Amino acid sequence: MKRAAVIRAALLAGLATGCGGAPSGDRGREAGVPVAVPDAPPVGYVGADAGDGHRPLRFADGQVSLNDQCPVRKRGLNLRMPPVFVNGAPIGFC
Amino acid sequence: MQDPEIYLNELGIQVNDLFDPTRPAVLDAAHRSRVNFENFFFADAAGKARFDADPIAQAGVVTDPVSRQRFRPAPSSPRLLHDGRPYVFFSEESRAAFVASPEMYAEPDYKMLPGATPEESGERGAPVHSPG
Repeated sequence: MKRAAVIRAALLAGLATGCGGAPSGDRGREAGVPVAVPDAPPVGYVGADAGDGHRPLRFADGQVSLNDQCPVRKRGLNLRMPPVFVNGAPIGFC
Repeated sequence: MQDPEIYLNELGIQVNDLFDPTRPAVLDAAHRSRVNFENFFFADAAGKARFDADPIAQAGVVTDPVSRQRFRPAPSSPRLLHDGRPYVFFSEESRAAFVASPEMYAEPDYKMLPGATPEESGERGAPVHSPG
């Protein structure tokens, strides 16, 4: 009985978490309370360096930068520079 | 990044419409909206008008300009309009700090993230510099 109650509570907690953010496909619905999103810094590069250092960045949340080189200097992207977001997708810098 | 469309066009980066990902967005200032540090582009004026009707509700996850916390805003989230751009904050403390020194927080300062070594990042320079 106690185990069943624990499982039920866990399921409810999961459902509550799932309802915390905006429903998929509905950007216009704000959550009831602000929902913190874990930081997702750049964690590596995508693909091999062809010699020019131009590779997209891979982020901790699985996103990949839209660009593979600096918007201004046209050099390789820097893992330590925070991205700017365009339509929710990251743009890397150097 | 004051005019991201300039760099996106230079690099040939295609961005799709925020609401209809099957349509390419028009990368110019007339089809762009902003919330905090986030940029949004749309395929047509109707998309931009839809977004601008309630931009914070449409923005999805944003970055608090003061604490840099990524978060999804709520209707109760503190907010304000600065230089025509809507800003939303994770906390009232962030909003108060922004109001006290908007020049410090209205644009990202591009400080490097901690943790990575210069070798990992490919950089040998100072820890803070302008973005490129």
